[in-house]
Amino acid sequence: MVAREPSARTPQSEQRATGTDNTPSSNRHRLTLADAADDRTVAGESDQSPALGEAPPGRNAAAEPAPACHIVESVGGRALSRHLAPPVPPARIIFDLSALVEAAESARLIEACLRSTELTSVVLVDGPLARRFAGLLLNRIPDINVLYILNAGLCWQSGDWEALRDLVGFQRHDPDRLKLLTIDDALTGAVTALGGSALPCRLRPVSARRRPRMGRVALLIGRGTGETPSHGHVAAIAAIAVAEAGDRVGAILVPEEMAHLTALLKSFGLGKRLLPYLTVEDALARLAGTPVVYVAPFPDGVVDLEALVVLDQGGLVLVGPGAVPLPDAVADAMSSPYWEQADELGVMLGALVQGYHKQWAMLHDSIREASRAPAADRATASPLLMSPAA
Amino acid sequence: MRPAPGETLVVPVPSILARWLPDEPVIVTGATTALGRSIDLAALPLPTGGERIRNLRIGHGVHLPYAIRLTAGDVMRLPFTGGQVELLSHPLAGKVRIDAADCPPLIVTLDDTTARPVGTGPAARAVRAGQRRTSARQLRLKALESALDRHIATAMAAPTQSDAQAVTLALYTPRWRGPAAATVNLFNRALPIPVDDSHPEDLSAAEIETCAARIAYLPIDRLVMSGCDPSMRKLVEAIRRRRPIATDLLWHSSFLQMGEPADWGLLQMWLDAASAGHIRRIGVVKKGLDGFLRSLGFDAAFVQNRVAVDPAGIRPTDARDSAGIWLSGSSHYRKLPYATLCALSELRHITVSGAGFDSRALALIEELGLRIGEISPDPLRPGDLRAALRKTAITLSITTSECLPMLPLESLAEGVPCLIGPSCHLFRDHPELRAVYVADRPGQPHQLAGKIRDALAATGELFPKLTAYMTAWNEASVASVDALICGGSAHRVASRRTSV
Repeated sequence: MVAREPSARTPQSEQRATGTDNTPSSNRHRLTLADAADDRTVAGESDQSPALGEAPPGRNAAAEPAPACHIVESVGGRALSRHLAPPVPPARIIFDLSALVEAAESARLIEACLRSTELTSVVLVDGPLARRFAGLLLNRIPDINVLYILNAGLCWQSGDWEALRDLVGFQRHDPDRLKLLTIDDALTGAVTALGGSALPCRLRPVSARRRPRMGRVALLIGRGTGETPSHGHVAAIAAIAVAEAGDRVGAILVPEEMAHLTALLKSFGLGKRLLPYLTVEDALARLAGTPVVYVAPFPDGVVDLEALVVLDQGGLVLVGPGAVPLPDAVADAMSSPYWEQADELGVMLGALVQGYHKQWAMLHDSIREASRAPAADRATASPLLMSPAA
Repeated sequence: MRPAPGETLVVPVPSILARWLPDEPVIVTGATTALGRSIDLAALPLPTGGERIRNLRIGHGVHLPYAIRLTAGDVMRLPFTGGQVELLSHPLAGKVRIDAADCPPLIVTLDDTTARPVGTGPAARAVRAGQRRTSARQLRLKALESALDRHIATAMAAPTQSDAQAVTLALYTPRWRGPAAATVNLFNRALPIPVDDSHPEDLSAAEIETCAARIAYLPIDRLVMSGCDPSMRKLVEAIRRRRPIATDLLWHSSFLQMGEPADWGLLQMWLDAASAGHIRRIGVVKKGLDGFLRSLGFDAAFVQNRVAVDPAGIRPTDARDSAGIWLSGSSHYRKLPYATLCALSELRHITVSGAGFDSRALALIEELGLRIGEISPDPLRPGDLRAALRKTAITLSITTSECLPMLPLESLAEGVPCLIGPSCHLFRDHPELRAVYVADRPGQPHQLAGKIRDALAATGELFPKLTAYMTAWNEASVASVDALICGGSAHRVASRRTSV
């Protein structure tokens, strides 16, 4: 999927909306142009969020880097793209690799997009497809610069180290065109040890969203990255939270493939609340307007893209350290370095459920206050990195 | 009768799948020969069952085109001997060495005093099979009896700190390094079962009965089962048949490990034993798990691990610029050293020593060009570990999940500070020590590098505070053991558990 930002509508989306799409049928189901409003419907409806396409209040537009094409994977990657703070250039076009099958076809489409929009910079957000795609993009389109956003931790069991080694190899071959950026500076040393160089980048907190309605709070159990392939503590956390908050807890949504987690939750007497879900988007669609807490405390140091999606949709989270950028005012209530201490996190989750709207208000008040702060306070823009338009 | 010096026992080499995975489904995701050649899983015959899986998805990022799911009794015929298979879903999963179930039996030569194997070699084919089996069984039982007698004599002669400890015997499994170290430090009388490093599930029914016969009539009032494999449950039963002895369990797993089907199966087995009245109280070494088990209706108490030394006598290490990473090989995901090794790539002046490293860690050390000291692919035995610890300036045990790890305590006991992850309550109640010795982001190498640098610099200033902390820690530990073995009689609170 290609999402165009910040314009509200594109000819293609108009075609789609009016049923006059002339895209060849072989591509129609895989390639759709969507405007950014698709992702920001809730924001657009909310009077608490900045209008689409406008720089947030107080932002120094002159200091903002020129926009770029962001290449992401899935809705989580799109969420991460929106959280990248300057000096990473903002997205003018978002290209979602997950909807496409062939890398060569994806590269051809991106090339066409870049030429038509005269963009010369691409921000590649880390992911299995992006890793394979970086070299192809550099080889195929000689006049673009690529900023590759490395996640804050490595999923060792998913081949991240080998992928990092390949990326550094690309960088060493073409250092002027490929810059590696690492969230929270986490992988700077590792990249250096492999003979490359990495620059730090930061994430900014979520945008303000519409307040969910009152009612019972749903728990959405996250999958995690798979690097910690166990949810035993999550089952205990949910059981303790239900004991704490009672009927304030509504449905507990569990990834449908997690049979053992489901069995554990049933063992703890929570069987009647369980609902399976396939993807976070589907789950959130079912929970539209319902207060929801995303529960996935893991230690991996990797940014939790699904948690970002939930925050973007107006939910709350209970996550491990560094999983998502949270304002200080709520960080201790929604995150703990002692992510496995189920007895403590169960009580935290119970408190989040019982004080849901208070916590929600604290989160969004913090976000609004942060957005009013001078730009220099919000993002300590290091002298970049790279001129995206260069 | 003990085996004579040089006498041999003949034992079959067990199939690793049969031994480690008796009840647990396993997914095979890859296989390579000893020469490193990949085997096409799709071409492997499955004569007795097994399910072929296409398009397996692991977490978010990994997608495998093909895998094989095996359950108990399924046989996957490998066209090679040696080599490795990659397994998914089992806590011991990872790369494991394969010995074919039908490969020739080995001769194992036992040491006369310890009854431990000291040498192996192919069995002489001239021996008749029937004779060999009989001889092996009898000799092994005799060896077990004599080894048990020696260990029991040692345990019962040990000085005790209290009347309760004097009538308590703790049983542990030497193969599980951490729980074994914890047990011998917590309890004055401790007995290894099995008596060597073999897997407890290799104990035969006759050997379990032999152990039970020796233990049941000892002058004790209390047993603590500090090994939790199914064979230990059978041992409890066998002892009960001879003489009912009040039996407690010491559970060494965490909340997280309930998410491992095999571990949860073991916990369920012991919870069932508690429900049946065969286990009086459950001690847990993960703080907070006791409350959770009580909420499920079980009598549970927290037991704080310790190293039984006087902290006042500990002197700080003289070593400088050297770090140790000591792994026991007990987990394929909770205790990965990779991020720590990456962190050390930012600290070029530090030499790294360690043990229990897998092939990936060894390759990473080489790739990162780290300065290396003494590296052992295998976990160290306790005595060797203590000696190795003393040669380093800091121990790096930055794991993601623990109950209450022994390594940081053992390291401190040798005068070597230890950096840990936020995985247990060690240092949590001491802000100054926590700030230096707990790394909040165990997966982020750059953050770890800063913590290692700070911890090394702080040794001189903070060591007295570390020893003072250990003194209070050990006192609390003694009290926690007393609470386990001297607490009131088992009581059942109203069970909220529905189908545990």
